[in-house]
Amino acid sequence: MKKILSIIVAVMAFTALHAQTLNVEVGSVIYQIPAAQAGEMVYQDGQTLTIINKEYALSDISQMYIDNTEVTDNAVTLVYNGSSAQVFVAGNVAQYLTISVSGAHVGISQSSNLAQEITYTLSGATTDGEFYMEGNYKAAIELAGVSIVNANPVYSGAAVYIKNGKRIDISVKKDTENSLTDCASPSSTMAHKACLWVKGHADFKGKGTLNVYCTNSDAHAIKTGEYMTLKNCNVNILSAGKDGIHANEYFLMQSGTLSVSGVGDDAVQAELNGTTNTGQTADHEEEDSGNIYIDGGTLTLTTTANGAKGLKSDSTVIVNDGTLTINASGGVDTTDASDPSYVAGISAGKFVQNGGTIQMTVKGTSGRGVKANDIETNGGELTITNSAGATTINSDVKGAKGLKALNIALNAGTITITMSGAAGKGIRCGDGTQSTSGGGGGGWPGGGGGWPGGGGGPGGGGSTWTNITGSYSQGKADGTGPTLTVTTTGAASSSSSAKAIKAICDIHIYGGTTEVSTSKSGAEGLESKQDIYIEGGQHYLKCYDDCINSKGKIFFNGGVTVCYSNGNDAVDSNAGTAGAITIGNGTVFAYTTKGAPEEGLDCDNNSYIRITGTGIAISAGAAQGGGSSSSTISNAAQGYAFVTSNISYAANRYYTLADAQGNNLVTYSFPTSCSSSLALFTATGMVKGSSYNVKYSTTAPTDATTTWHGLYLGSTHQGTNSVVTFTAK
Amino acid sequence: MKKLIVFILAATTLQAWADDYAYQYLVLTDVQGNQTAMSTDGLKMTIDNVTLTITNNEGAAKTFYLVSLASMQFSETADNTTTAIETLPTNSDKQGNLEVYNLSGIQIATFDNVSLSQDRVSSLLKNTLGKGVYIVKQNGTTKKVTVR
Repeated sequence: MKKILSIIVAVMAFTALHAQTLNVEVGSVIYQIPAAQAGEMVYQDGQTLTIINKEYALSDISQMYIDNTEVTDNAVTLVYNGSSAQVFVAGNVAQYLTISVSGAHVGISQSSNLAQEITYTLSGATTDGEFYMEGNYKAAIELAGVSIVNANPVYSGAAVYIKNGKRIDISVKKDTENSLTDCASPSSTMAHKACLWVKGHADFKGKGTLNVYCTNSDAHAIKTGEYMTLKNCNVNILSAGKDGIHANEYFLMQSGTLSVSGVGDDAVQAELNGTTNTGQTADHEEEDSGNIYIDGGTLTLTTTANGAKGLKSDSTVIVNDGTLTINASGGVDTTDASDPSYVAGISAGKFVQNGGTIQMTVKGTSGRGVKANDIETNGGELTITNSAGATTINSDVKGAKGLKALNIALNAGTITITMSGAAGKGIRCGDGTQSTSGGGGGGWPGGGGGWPGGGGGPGGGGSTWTNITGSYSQGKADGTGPTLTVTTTGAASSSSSAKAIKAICDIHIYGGTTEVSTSKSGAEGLESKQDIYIEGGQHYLKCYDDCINSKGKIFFNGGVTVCYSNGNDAVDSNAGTAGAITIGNGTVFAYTTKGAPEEGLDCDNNSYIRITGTGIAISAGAAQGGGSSSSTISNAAQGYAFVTSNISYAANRYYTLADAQGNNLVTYSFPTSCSSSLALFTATGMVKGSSYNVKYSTTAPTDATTTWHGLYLGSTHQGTNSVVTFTAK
Repeated sequence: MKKLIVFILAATTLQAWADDYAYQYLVLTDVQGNQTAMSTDGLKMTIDNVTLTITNNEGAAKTFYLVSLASMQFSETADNTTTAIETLPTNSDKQGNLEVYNLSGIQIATFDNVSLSQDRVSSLLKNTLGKGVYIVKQNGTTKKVTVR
């Protein structure tokens, strides 16, 4: 093998020695014609010399010389050197190019007759230069260790302007560092749209590093007139008057790293080029969607401008993989007073996460983590830490949001939302028209009226919602779902509270795991202005205000739900009708440690409770009117009891509801003392007329099939100290 | 397999070598058809208003009026005859000194007082050099001879 390689190397070296090139030097441009290609070179009337169909004016030729330079066909090499630049042109494409060099400002025009792809290789450094190319045939630009600062533009204020509407490869050569800086204040005739500006579609590749400094206040760092893709290379955008990257048609990141900071607007924005949205097409062929695709790589996006977004698209943002870190800290953009713009990590028509890891930090006033018309998670990790405070606009309190959308489907993935600002809500979903006493209205921004900023005070009373749209779901019908953690610690701001999950529309929870925590007044855990359906999954809500609150009915049809409120009701339905709280086949353990008049299960009248299945319900709290041991649940599917004797629950005790034979129906415990003067007991297998008891022990069950925040299901554990005995209805 | 790979690489490389072959001369032709061959070794051309001056590493220097130039071309031979092949006359009683070159432009033989007829020259070359294609030059005239 060594021998073969040695032979090959030797032959190649021998071959190189035989390269023979005629160099025709015209100012700063050297046309390099391989001798084998030159053919007959024709002089005409002592004025011109024509070589491979390119006519050179003899008066322009500085000199001609022959050397052993290897010439690569279709290649143009630009070497910047301070205040000058040299351009080397392969002889076979010379006839198709018109080249102008002024100092270090190079302009190249490709003929319309050109039918082969030229590779332009840029290297060297200049503090006053640029590269301008115009044409209509695809080309490749290689950044091979080049540094360009455009101080005094000749073609445009851009450092690199490719005025070519075709496919442009931007190859950032491996092991090179490249730097582009535009002109800060070009004249109006030199106005540019970006420091690196490509009229067509640009494919960024290579394993080198590109640093872009846009110093002009009206320009983006990188702009493409059509789609932009990024693969392998490291792109650092360190400043821009406007966006870091602004791409038409779509933006696709496949791999590599992208870092954006110091920008005056969004970090990355994509928008439609034409007027018709094609949506995502197969292999992105002929696509004009305005979408953003993150399929891999590492993105670190930082925005500080008012109303700025990390990723922005009026269409769809899809994260399939990759690692994203987004920091948004600007204020509210009130340029359009009727439609204020808030900072957001991601702002889209639709946001879909199928994989990858997103870490978002939002600090800008009223900022959003993700703001979209539709939000869908199918995998990956999404972590939002939002400390943004609230502001008041047009008399409405605008608090920060973790997720805000008309439709939210959290199908899978791990989602963690932490809100610490005043009135900061974890999740806000749905829309409608709100009528409060004295009139007024609400609606999606732009639809006429603006958000009211919240759903009213604790309990959500005093307002009516109509024309409700939107949808909220967690998990899928097969019982799988996301791991969702929502924490709010902010105080209320005027009438707007730091609720964890608030939906104007119905809430459907099919599966997954939920952990909700709130700690301030008005901060409900799970609120809907319509109905709430819990069909599966495991959910724990520990809230200062109501853990679960709805204007409509609350259904525990499946899953396991534990609600612990230390400031209000655990579960509160304001439906005011039969079935306001419905125990189906689900399990609910709801208790409040607040004391009277707060209840474990509050629906204003115990007889509104319905038992339609074989689930389990254990409640503990006070009696808020309508609470009596004589309350009757019509047509209960299994035995139940309202116990109104005082029960003083204590921590570190494990309370077991059992039948007269001592069979364990459920074991439960409390993290702290809890006094109950109205408790509902119903469990699988309870029979009307039979005797049941609650006893406690100080040892925890060890054989439970399900253990969930003080609830032990499927255990054989038995209590030893009697608490209460009752006969089921 | 290894041998095959080496052979393919060698053939490809040799073909590339053939394509990039270094031409010995740059032949300039004036408007009257007169040709001047300049060695390409270190060749440099400068234009000064109405003249073209050529220098090279052989120390040669030639100046042409631009208006007198018609064309220039790379060539393997000094008189660029590879592009204008002419055969020897079939019958000729002329004699003279004969210079023989290979296709690379390298002189390989000299014969004194040789008849210029093609038959005589072919016979001489066949007996002394063997079959092949040769460039023969006599009295400033260059022609190609194929010996079979």
